[in-house]
Amino acid sequence: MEVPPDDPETDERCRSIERGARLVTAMPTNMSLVLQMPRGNLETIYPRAMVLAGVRHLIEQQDYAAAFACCRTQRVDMNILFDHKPEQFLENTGLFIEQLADITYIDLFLSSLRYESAYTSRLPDTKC
Amino acid sequence: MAAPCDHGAVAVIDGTTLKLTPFRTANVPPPMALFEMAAPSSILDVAFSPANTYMGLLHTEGFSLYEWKLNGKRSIKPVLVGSLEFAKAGNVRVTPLQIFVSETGNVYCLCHSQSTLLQRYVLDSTVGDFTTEDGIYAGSLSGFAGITQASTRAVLAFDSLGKLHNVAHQEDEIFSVRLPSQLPWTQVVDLAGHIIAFGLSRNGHLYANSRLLLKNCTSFLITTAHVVVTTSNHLVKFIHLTDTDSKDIIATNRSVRIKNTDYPM
Repeated sequence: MEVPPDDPETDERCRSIERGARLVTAMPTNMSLVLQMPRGNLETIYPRAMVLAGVRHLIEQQDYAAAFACCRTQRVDMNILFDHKPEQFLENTGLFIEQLADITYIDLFLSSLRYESAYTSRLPDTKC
Repeated sequence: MAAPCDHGAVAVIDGTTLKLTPFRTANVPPPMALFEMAAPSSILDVAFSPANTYMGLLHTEGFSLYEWKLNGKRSIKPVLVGSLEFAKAGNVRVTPLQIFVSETGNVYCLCHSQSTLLQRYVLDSTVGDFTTEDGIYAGSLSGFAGITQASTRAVLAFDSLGKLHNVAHQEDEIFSVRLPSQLPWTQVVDLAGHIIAFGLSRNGHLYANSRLLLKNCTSFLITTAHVVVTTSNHLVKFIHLTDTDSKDIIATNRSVRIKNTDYPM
């Protein structure tokens, strides 16, 4: 169990928050984290580490529709939909297209594809 | 909390009222709450069962057990399953301290009456009544530990030296896993057989079993994949929960159980 260094600029396992904020609850299903600020108000954040863990989990469950929707709202590189489980994607391409349904979504996915794996280029190998 | 039972339920005690908000259903800011429950007397402690099926509410005169209700994915107001008053159950002069609820609806109460006792109440769900079992002596136990495993049957408690006990049945099993000392905030995770106990001290030291993870921690939470930590230099960190890796984790994780049968009082 490695504690990530204090490097919010580059490391996704680390994120800056307001001074004095404390954790209230975490909801992996919603990929969100609720914090309580020193003044007493609550804030909900969607940390990169939890979003990526959530997207990976959805891909493993073959729920490409939800994974795609999450990548779109959270601005995650869509290459993860293929790169996380390449063989599974190739076997279930029909399912992927059925779940996405909308032609604009498929266009969006196709236009974001890159040759190199997302894990080597955009998403760091932090195994979140 | 583990998915899919991570409703994000937070309970706030306000005198005789319990303010309950499941954040996954509705993000209600304090001082409001989505649900409010009234208790007959001042509330002392609230506990959720490991998979959030039940919620137990301990007040000065007894306790109430609620069942968590869902309407699809949304949480609705919990329903009262049963309650017990200490005076009517025969324990007249008892000071209740803490409560724990298992997944089967059994309630465990740490209370003080001449000495510290761990009382187990078995739920009869058809009637909504509880059977009081003999209390076991719990003089060394300082408090229940939260468990992150939804399917667990264990009832875990820490003692004043930081050792972990399983008091699910009328016996006291001691684990070889332990924290360095008694810590105010604890949570236990079962990672494929490896028990890891996390504890936060008042001066910000976060321990995983006997290993010091970090020194400037202000709060922590355990999810299925991470240990989420806030630090005093305004950062939230995600520590990936791993099975093995470091040598000290392997060394402390073989949970050898030593069984102690306590004499019932």
